[in-house]
Order: sequence, then structure tokens, then C-alpha cells
Amino acid sequence: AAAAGGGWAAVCEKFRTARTLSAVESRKDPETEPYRSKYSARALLQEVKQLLSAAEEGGEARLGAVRRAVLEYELGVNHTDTEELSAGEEHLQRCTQLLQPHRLSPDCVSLYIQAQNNLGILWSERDEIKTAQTYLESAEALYNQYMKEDGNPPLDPSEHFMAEEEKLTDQERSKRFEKAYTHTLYYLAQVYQHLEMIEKAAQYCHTTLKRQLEYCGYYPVEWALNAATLSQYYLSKQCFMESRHCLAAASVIFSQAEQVPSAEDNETEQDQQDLRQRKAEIARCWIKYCLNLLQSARKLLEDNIGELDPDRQLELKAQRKKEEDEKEEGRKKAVLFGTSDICDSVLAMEEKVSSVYPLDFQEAREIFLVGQNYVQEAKEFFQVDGYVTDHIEIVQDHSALFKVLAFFEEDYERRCKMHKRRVDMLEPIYADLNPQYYLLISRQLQFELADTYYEMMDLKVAIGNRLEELDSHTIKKINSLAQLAIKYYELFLDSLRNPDKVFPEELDEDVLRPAMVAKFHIARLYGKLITSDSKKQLENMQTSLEYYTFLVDYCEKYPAAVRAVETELELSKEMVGLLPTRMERLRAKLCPFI
Amino acid sequence: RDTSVSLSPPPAIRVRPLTSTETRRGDRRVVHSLGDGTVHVSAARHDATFGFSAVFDAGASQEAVFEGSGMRQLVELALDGFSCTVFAFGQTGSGKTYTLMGPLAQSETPPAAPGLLGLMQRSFACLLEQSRSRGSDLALSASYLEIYNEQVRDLLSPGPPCTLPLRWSKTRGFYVENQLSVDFESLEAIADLLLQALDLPPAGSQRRRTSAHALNRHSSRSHALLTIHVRSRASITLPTRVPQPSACPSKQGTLCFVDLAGSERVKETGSSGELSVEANNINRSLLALGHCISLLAKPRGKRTHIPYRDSKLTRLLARSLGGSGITLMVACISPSSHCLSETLSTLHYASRARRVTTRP
Repeated sequence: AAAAGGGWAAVCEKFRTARTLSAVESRKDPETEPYRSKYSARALLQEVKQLLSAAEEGGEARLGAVRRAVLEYELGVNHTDTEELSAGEEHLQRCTQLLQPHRLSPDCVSLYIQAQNNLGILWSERDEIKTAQTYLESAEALYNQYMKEDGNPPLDPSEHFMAEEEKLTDQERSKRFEKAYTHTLYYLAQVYQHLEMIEKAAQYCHTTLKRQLEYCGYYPVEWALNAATLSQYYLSKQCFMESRHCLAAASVIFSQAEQVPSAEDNETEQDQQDLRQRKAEIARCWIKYCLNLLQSARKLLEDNIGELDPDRQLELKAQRKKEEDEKEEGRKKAVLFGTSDICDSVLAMEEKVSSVYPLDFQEAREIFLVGQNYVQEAKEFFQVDGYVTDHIEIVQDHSALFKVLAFFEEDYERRCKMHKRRVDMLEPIYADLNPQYYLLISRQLQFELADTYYEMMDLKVAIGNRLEELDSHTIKKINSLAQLAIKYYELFLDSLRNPDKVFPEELDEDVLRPAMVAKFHIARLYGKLITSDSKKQLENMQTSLEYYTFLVDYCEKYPAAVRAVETELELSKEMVGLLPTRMERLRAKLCPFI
Repeated sequence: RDTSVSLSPPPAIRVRPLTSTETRRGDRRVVHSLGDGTVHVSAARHDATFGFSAVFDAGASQEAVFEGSGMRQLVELALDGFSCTVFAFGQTGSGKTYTLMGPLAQSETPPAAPGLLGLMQRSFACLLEQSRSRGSDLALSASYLEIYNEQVRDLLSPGPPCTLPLRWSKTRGFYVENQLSVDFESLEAIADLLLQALDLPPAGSQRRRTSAHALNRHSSRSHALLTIHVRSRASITLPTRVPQPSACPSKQGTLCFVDLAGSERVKETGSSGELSVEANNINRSLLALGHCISLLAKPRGKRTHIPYRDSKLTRLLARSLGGSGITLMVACISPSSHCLSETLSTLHYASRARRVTTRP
């Protein structure tokens, strides 16, 4: 052996002391000398380095080289920690050079990867993110190559300075090796994000999460939140299967956390509060999942007037049958959070809700019900008192769920009932809201209520049209719905006035379209009001004309606005042309002798 | 709840003088205090005027700030048992620490001239003076915390800095477990305490983990909270001149001084309270994974939801920020053209705060 028993033990001791200084003692360093322990560690490492080179003999060249590489690594990290990047880089490079010919062997591979990880971090601190990328990708490739060609748990670098009996178990070696690789992937996720390669970044975040479950240890609540957040990313990409998987895993892991009992009273109160909130947050992510799935399906199925197109429906159903077996398995394997103990639970959670587009009412309703359950769950924590904005957003989501479900419902009466549910949940919270402090939400609610009443009115008219003639009850209903819609559109338009109650000359971009649509709908609504009184009818037509005219005039004055309201503008122009003639005819009927 | 709103003084603005670096660089002065509470900010395209009730310009003394900002009222309210908090808000280098505690004393140089003492020391003096004139029995104790990177550290405890857990109980609300609370009775004692906290290895403000070259960098990312607990009891003096514990109920108030992290950091932390991965740096800690993921899922439109993470600062200050607390905000700004956008942002924030406190 290069050094006789006692001498070698002393060297190992020095090495260990150096590492303890660096990792543990350095935290206690005073502010005036923040790197005191690190400098001491460095001195010790240099001593070890010298002892090694002194004791080297020909036969043990390889072993000596590896040991020197370990020292270069430790020195490299040491210098990087003390903000001496150039020196750090030098040592790390020397380390990789020493290991280069043997980098795929079990005694070197872990150290090599760790050195490359650190070089990646180092270069990122110099703002050279692409260089960092090359080091990290190289580490990634090496890991994959090693696992393919060998695969046995490699030595942990610290073992090169351990006595025989202290060496680690295979299990421990594997754990540390995998941890180093997890960090490689995690650093790559960050690199890809900086390079705006978002999809890749997401993939690597996903893998990091996966590996945390398998190797690293994790905080359940933290993990669950991360998985739930990742699910929202997948939603934005319409990857429903992946999104569902993340959410299911989040729920499962979270419920594990819930079951851990807390001892002290004080801890429980705060932590319970926290847990309840996190649970509600995860519920909200699920709501978005259900909503997005339904809304995406709607987009696929709707025709150009917003109704369900039966031909499209048949088409998609046929297509689904074909694809069912093929693609799922492949994609799924890539993203499975696979530790055996949670696998089944996750699967069970996933089976509660579909991840494919619903193509008819039955399927849509199932997803709707899941979403509705989560609404109730989220509202348990996010009550109006204390969480106004959150509570309202949840209610808005609930309303949106009804709205999209109505799309799938064929029967007009039942559709109407669904819209009524929306009104019933939105009106009370709107009434309680102070528009001074919640202007944006107030406007959203006004508009949504108006739109909902508008839809209901249209449905009642359609239902009425199927009958021989409209009975007075239906007429009353139609008129009342129309008036309510007008009321809320007017409230919305009023909210745009400046403090002097003057309607703005030119509208801001973000309120332009809604304002125009409001005007347009009001015009149309006045046209729909049913009255037997001709004079009243004339008045309504006049009001209608005024609103259509407003639109046309505004677009003339501000041509840039045309893009925002093309369809409505076209119709408005038509009406502006037609209405005066109709009104004349009506007036003639009223006063035939004038 | 209504009382506290009407008792809270409106936000105060303090403009510091141009530093020698700024003057050497040739920075122009873009902030002008026009008297009667108007602050005018002018530069190329940005011209804005703000109105506040208390504006202190570059020439204002520490004493003027103490007297004119409403700090004295806060002290008196603390004696009456209220929870009072004063915040120093503004970008790094705008004078928050100077306003709160005067120039940071170095161990080699003599302690700061009395005229330069900040709101803290003046408040202590006021506390002690008030207690003497009211003839009440005052028990004063202080605790000094730092929140850095969502970890709470006690700056007064000797020994190695370690993270303390933040707990909640029905009786105490949010509190820091094992936090050291030091009793003091005289101005000298608390001043010594602060000096200790500022200077030497055993304790404190320099243990705000700032090494000389990184002073601004660190304090710009951490919040420091000095809390004074004031328990007062009027004592009845019997003819024998031996004060007896009285039948009067004791009042427990708090006076909290918060030196906030540099406001320019606020944009980077977002609602999650976590530090962003700076520029191109790779964050080693797996705890930042959550932040990384939430950047991916940046909602474009309302269709997704990012689970919220609580911030330790908000929890600790819950009682003060909530209905029953009384707060004074001192917004610190630099007059230099170099800091224009930060200055505007601080002033906008302060004027929004102003509207909140005067609402009916």
C-alpha cells in the first residue's frame, strides 16, 4: 500500500476533518471571517495532497490518481465556495483530467459526474449558461452510459479516504450516486429554463420529482404542491394525461402527509391550518383540470355558431376508438411516478376522472361532477370571510363548469336550468362586493351575469319558437330575462365611466371588446323585448337603433377598434340600415292619417 | 378595527441626500419636495406629483423625522397596550436602516453622535421618559429577528446562528419558538444591546450575515424585526413610599421596527416569497424546485392555478397588519436620476397605502 497503516489512517483523518470544517463548522464562522473554516479546510486538503504525492509509488498509480482527483474536487468546490471561481475551475478541470481515462469505472464515475455538476454551476455563475449546459449534459450522458454498460452501485468519492471496514453498503452507494444524478437533472431543468426550452425544462422537472420519490427523500407537502404546480403547466399544453397523473400523485402524497400525527398542541394548530390550505390549493388545481378538459373538448366539437356539431362528434368518437390502445402506454411509461407503494393509489385516483376529451353529455357530466366536488372542497377553506378573491375565483370556476356542461346538454329547458344555477351563485357574491375595492372582479361578474341572462333569454325564445304561439307566461319570462341582462350590461358600462360619470371618449384596449359587445347585446335585447303596446315597441326600436349606431360611429372614429368587433360591427351596420325603415312602417301603422 | 384605522398615521416619505458616489457620477436630482407635502418627480418622460402629509427632504434631521412622522404617537399607543409597527420601505441604499437606527456604528469608531440616532433609539428614550412621567411600572424587553430566504434567525442569541421555527397558537398568535427576549431598563442598556447586535461577534446586526463587501447585497434580501414588548402597570404609591402591585390591569403593547428587504427584490420574489434564481445562476437547493416549476406554469390567462406559498414575514406581522394593529410606513427614496423607476414605484406604493388608511 502507498502508505503504511497508521500513516494512512492519519491522512484519512485529516481529509475527514477538512470536510467537516467545510460542511459543518463553516456555518458557525463569524461575519468578519465568513470563510475561516473553509480556509482551514483548504490548508488541510493541501497537506493531504502533499502527503499523497510524497508517498506515491509506481504500482499504485491508478489509485493515487483517483485519490488526487478526489482532493482536486474538494479543493475545486472549496475555492468555488469562497468565490474564487478561476482557482475553482482549475482544480475541477484537473480532477476531470485525472479521471478521464477511467471515468466509466465504478471507482471514478460518481466523482466525475459530481465534478461536472460543479463545473456547470460554476459557469452559470459566470453567466455562461451554454457552457454550463455542455458540462451538465456530458454528466447526464456519462450516467446513462455507465448504467447501460455496468450499472453496479459505484464507489462514493468519500470512500477513497475510508478504512476498509468503514466502506459503504451497496444500497448506500446507490443512493448517493442516484442523488448526484438527480442534481444533474435538476440543474439541467434550470438551465433549460434559462434557455427558454420550456418543454425540456418541464420534462426535467418532472423527472426530478419522480426521482425525489424514489431516491432522495422529500417533504410530502412540498412535493405534492410541486406536482400540482407541474400539472398546471401540462394543462397549458393540453397534456391531460400527464396533468392528471401529476395531480393524482399530488393528492396521494399529500394524503400521506395528512396522516402523520403531530405531538404538541401549538404545532398542530399552525400546521393544521397550513395543511388545510394546501389541500384546498390542490383542489383548485383539480378544478382547473376538469374545466380545461371540458373547455378543450368543447372547442373541438363546436360548429361556427357555438353549438355541438353532431358530425364532428361522430368523427371524434371513431377516431378515439382507434387511438385508445396505441398511444397511452408509451407516453405513460415516460412519466410514471412509479414507486410501488403509491402506484396503486395513484392509479385509483386517476380512474376517478377521465383524461380524454368527453364527447357527449354523459362523459361531460362525469367530469363536471368531479370538478364540482373539488369546488366544494376548495370552498371549505377559502371562505368569503378572509379570502374574498380566492373564494370568488372558485365560484367563477364553478359557474364556468356549468356553462361548459350546458354546451353538451341537448334539452333547452335543462340547459336553462344550468344557467340559472350560475346566476344563483354569482348574484349574491356580486351584491356583497364593494366595487371600489374590487373593480376588476366586479366588472367580470357584471359581464358574466349579463351574458348568462342573455343566454337564458335566447334559450327561452328558442323554446317558445317551437310552440304554436307564445303564452303570456313565457313572454313575461323572456322579457324579464332580457331586462335583467340589460341591467347588468348597463352596470358594466357604467363602471367604465370616470369619476365625473362621463363615458370615456376612447376606450382602453382591455375594456374595448367587452364594452362593444355589451352595447351590441343591449341593442339586440331591446329588439327582442315583446310588447303589445306599439308605442312601447317604437321606443324599444329607437333605443336599439341608438346602441347599434354607437358601435358604428365608434368604429368610424377609431378604426383601430374594428378588429376587435368585426362580426358585431357588420350586423350593427345592417341594423342601422334596416331599423329606421321598420320604425317608419310602424309609425305609419300607428298614425295612418299623418 | 375602526379605531386602528383612524389611529394609524399616514405614510411618511423621506428623501435622502445624494451620496458622494452619485454626485461623482454626475447623477441629477429628480425628486423635489415642494413643501406642503407635495413630492414632484421629474425626468425625461416621467413627470409625477404625489401628495403626502409628511415629507422629509434631504435636509431633515433624524429628530424632525421622529417628531413629524407620527412615531411619537406610536410609542404612546404601545404604552397603552396596542400593537404598533413601523416599516421602513424602499430600495436598497435608500436610507431605511439609517432612518431606523442611525449610522451603523463600527466597532473601532466611536458611537454615533446623538443627533444622528434613528427612530429606534429615540423611541426607547421616549418610552422611558413617558413611563417616568406617567409614574407607571414599565417592564421592557426586546427581541431581534432576521428573516432571510424564508428562514427566521434570532440575532440576539449567542452561539451559532440557527433557524428558529415559526409557530402559531390561539393565545399568542404567530410567534418564534425559543426566541430570546432580553430585558432592559435604561436607554444605555438597550443602546448597548443594539451596539452589540451591530458590532461584535457575540450577537446581532452584523450577524445579519453581512460581510463588509456584501453588506448591501445581504440586507437587501433580508427583513430585520426588532420588537419591544412593553408591559406597563400603574403602581399605587402608599404613604410608606413602597409601590405596590396595583389593582390596575397591566397593559401589554408591542412596538415593532421592521427594516424591510430592498423593495427592488419584491418583483423577484413574487407572491411565493421565495428568491428567484438570479440571472443565470443555478440554485443548488432542491427547495427551489417549486419555484422553478411555477415559472414553467406561468398562467397566460386565467386557466391555471399556482398553489400559493405563505411568507414568513406576513405571518409574523399578521397581528400588526391585521385589523387591530397600528402601523406607520416610512418610505425611503433616493433623489438620484439613476433610481428613477424604483423611486416612482416606492412612491406609488406609499400613495396606495395612504388611500387604504384613510378609507371610511
